[in-house]
This record gives sequence, C-alpha cells and structure tokens, in this order.
Amino acid sequence: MKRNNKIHLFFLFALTLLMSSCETQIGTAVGAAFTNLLTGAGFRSSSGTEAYEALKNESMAHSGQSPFGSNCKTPNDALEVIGTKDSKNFSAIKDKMCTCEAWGTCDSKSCSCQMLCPKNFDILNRSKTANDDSAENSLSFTNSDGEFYAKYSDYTGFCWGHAVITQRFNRLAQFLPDRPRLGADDPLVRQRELKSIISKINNNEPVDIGGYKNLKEFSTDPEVKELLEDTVKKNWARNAMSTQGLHIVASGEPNPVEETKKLFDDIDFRVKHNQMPAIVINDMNESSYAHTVLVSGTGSTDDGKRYLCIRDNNYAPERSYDCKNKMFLNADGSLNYSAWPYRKIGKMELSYTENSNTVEQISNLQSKCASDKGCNGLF
Amino acid sequence: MMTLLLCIFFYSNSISALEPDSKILSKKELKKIEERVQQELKNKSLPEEKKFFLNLLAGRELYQYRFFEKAARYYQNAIEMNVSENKSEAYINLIAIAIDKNDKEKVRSLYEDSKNYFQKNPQFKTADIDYYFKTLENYLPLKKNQMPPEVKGFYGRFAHEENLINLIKAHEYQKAFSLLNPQGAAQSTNDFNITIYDSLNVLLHKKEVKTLYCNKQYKQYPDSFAMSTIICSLLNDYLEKGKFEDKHVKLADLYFKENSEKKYIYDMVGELNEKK
Repeated sequence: MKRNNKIHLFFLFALTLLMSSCETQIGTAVGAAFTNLLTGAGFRSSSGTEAYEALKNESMAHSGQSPFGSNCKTPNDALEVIGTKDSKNFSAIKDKMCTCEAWGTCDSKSCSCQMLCPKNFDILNRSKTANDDSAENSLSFTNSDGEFYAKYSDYTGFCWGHAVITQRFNRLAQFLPDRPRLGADDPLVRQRELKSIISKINNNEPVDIGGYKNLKEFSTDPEVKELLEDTVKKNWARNAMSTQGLHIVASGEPNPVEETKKLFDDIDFRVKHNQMPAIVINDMNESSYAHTVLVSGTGSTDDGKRYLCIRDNNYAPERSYDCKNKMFLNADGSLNYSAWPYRKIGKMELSYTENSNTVEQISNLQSKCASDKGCNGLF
Repeated sequence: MMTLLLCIFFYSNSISALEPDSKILSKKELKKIEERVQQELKNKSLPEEKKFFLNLLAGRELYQYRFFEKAARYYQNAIEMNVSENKSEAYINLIAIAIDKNDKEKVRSLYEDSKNYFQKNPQFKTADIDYYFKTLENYLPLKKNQMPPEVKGFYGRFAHEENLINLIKAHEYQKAFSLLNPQGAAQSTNDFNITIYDSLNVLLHKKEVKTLYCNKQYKQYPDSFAMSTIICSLLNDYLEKGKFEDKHVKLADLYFKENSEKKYIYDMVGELNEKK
C-alpha cells in the first residue's frame, strides 16, 4: 500500500473515532460531515443535513404506525375506543380525555413523554402555527420596498432574512395575549427584553410572548417592528453574504429534471411534516436576480402538473396565503412561477440553512416541552 | 446597595440581549470535537492538503451553528496555509463574519487581502466573486466624490442601504438624498427607510417640508420607544416650533445611548436644533 493511501486510511479512522466520541446526534453528524467532505460529498453533507436525514428516515420508518394501538390513528380514535370499554372507573377515562400528542394537554402520568415531547417533526408544531400561512401568523411588513431608491429598482431585498425569521416565529413562538407584556413600564427594560426574545429566536430557541395575540400584532408594534426589521437584515446578511449564499447567484443553469423532481418530493415531505421550508430561486438569464420564499403547500393540477404553494414575502400576507402564488413543474423539468410571469426560473434549491435550523429547533423545542410537561429525565 | 443591584440587573439584561451560543452542541462536546480537530492538525504525517480541508470543514460546521469566533479561527488557519487549493470559502466566510459584527475595518482589510489573493490566483475568481466585491465596495465607506459600483439583484438592497448609511455618516446629505425616490418613500412600509427619508428631507429643505411620512405611525403610537417615533417627534417639533421639546430630547438621549449603532441618525437630525 502506498504511503499516501495509508495516511488517508489513518485519517478516516481518526475521523471515525471523532464521530464515535461525540455524545449527541449532532455531535455524531459533525464527525460524519468531516468524513463526507474527504470522500467527496461536499457541502450538502453537512452535519445539519446528516442529522436531518436521520430524523427523516426515522419518520418514514414509523409512518403508518399508530402509537395508540392497531385500531387507532389519532388521539380521538383512542378516546373513542376508551369510551366503548365497560369501565367502572369513570375518572380514569376522564383522565384520558386529553390530547396525547406533541405538546398535547395530557400530563406525563396519562400520556408517555415520548408522545408528549417527541424528538421528531411533530414537535415543530408547538402553537399549531407551523403550517399556518395566514396574515395573523405573518410579519406585518413585507420584504419589498423596491421603489425606495431613485436609480435602482432591480433588487430583491432582504427576502432570505424575512423567510427565516417568519419560519422561526411560526415554529418556536407561543403568543400569550392574556399575560402582561414584558417590562411594560420601563422603555429600556422593555427594549432589552424584546431584544432578548429576538436573540433567542435567532438562536432557534422557543419563546413565550406575553401581551400579544399573534405574530402580526407583535410585529405591528413599532418597538418590535424596528428590532425585527434589523434582524431580518442581519439574517439576510448571515445567509446571503456567506459562501453558501453566494453560491446561489453563481449560475442560473437549471437543475437536471430528475433532481428537480426529487427536490419536489423532498419539499412535499417537509410540508407534510410541519416544516414550511425556505427555498431559494434565481433567474435563468440573470443569475444574480435571486429570491427566497417559504413553501406552504404542494399539489397537482387535474392534468397532473405538480406545483408548490409559495408564501412570498414580496407581497402582503393577505396576497400570499392559501396557495395564491404557485410554482409549477413542467414536463420538461422547467419551472414557472406565477409571481414571476416575465422571468424564467433557473436554479431552485432548499435554503442551506433549512436542515441545520430544523434540527436545532427540534432539539430545543423538545427540551422546552420536557421541562414544561415534567418529562425531564423520563425519556 | 440599591444602585449596585440596579447596575447588576441592567448589566445582566444587556448581556442577555446579546445573541447566546447555539445549544446544539454542549460546551463539553464542542471542546471534545475541537480537541480532536487540533490533534489532527498537529499530526505531522497528515498532508497539508488534508489539513487545509480539515480547517475549512471545521470553519464551515461552526459557521452553520453560529459559532462565528471559532469558525473564524479555522478559516484564518486555512488562509495562512501554504497550499494551492481554492481559498475562496475561507475569505468569503471571514468577510461574512466581520459583516455580522458590522466591523467595517476588518471587512476592509479582508477585502484587500482577498483581492490580492484573487489577483495571484485568477483561476478561482468567478463572476459571483466580482459581484460580491462590488457589494463590498458599497458596504465600505469611500473617499469623497467616489461613487460605488451599481449592484442589482440579490445583493442590491443591502449594497444601496450600506452606501446610504456611509454617506450619512460622512455628512454628505445632499448626495444621500439624491439616491432616494420620493414616490418610493411615500409608499414605503419600512420604518428605517421612512425615518431616513424624512430626516434628510427636513434637514435639506427645512420648513418647506409639508409632509412627514413617519406621522402615520407616530400619531398611532406617540409614546413608543422606537427610533422611528423618537426621530419623528423631533422632526415635528422642528417643523412646528423651530426647536426640539426637552422631553423628546431626553427620550432620544436615552434611546441612542442604548442603541449607539444608530446614533448617526440622531446626530444628523440634531443638526436641525443647532442650525435653527
């Protein structure tokens, strides 16, 4: 064996050691990412992607299995079965009259912690808003301010930041209108607490927000709105000004047909598992014209043409919900977007932040759920 | 004693407003991974090329979870290595980290270094790198009378906004105002844009200004501790009375002491009170 090959083998062995020495799924995935890079898999096999794929495989392996027994598909089915039993102890049944699901109302005595706080995609739907593209669940301001500059209008704004922040609030925030607003009497304390909430959101951590009904109301308050505008810009820069972000404007060459179809399958899975993913697209003829949007649904026309429902932050949420904007996949693999009638779509990719953010959010949401439901140490 | 407690409270509050570290890896895990990587980097039998990729990957993985300081260290290592591999990623992500900190001096020095690198290694300089550099030329302050290149598309808004901020900081108000479209300002829903437009407009056209676009929100939320409200109150004071009300100045002082990164806007509007 040549010396170089020996070194290579030793190196991979060392990396495997690195993988096995790590304690968590992400720790393992970080190690795997090192191996992947050296075996040529590149950016796409980052630890975020490795960990995401592991969650996806687990989810697919368990699809169709009911945690409520063979006759039950949902908690309500389970309750019906319980109701038909000739039970002498009515209060025991009553105890079961709660929702035994992710973030359900049952306590850890009547529902297992694995059901209440699962480490899977169900945990993303904390406030039942992960799949809600209504105006109430959206930022009060759009991404577009396209006419503000006199000379230039051909730019797409801070879309990537807008999409990522919207997604984070939808997955991580719980609005509690009956609770008082934080630091209400002192403007400095209030601003610092609002900054702290936004920092946690940026760190993919769950937050409770007292005094507001929903994201729209929260982001309408000028004190909040200005901080959110700042963070939308900051997140845009973090994503777009990185190598991974720059990559999207490098070429407008469309992906091969099979790759696009696979991407549609992947997006379909994500949409059906509480994720409303962020995708990045660009113009085939002008690759620097790029845009990031959320996908809120999938479907197909009567003649079998597949489409994505686009939640486009260039439009007011009242104009971009319930699949008002669609992106169609044509038979030849090309894409048409209803909001870009005069442009041809070139590249379409999942935002490179999607997997790492999702994995991190699941981990943090599960910890929060375990703490709220008294499940710490019960897994 | 009470003062001390208040100081501790405010200190801890302002600290908590900083972005926390990602919780995805515990400190112990992170340390373990870093120790392993360091061990490999010290391995004398490992080819330099592999060490370069190891640095790059460590930087990439840490960037992904927002451990920016640590990521920067590995990217810097990669840049300093004597290898013929493509170092674009290391340069670009180091610049992205400096932009995240809004450290324009650091961005400038990295921009100069990377320009030298691409001059010596033109095989790695692609069209997207040119586009990126044009954006940086808008982000960084220029010498007087220099105009930054036009940036369209994806990086356009960022480039224009940073150029606008640079001009305001350099007190080149007329030039800054000439970049803006009055019709666009009238339609804007962005508080930053509206604040900048109204401020420049009043500063340059004084009492000829008949409409403040900030008033729509200001009238609805007059007591809000937001920059747009505070600046709007000062602009209204000036247009109505020729000077600022003391209570508005006190609130502005409090706000901009806490949010010093935006103080250049207060400094600009403050010139109205001085000039009268």
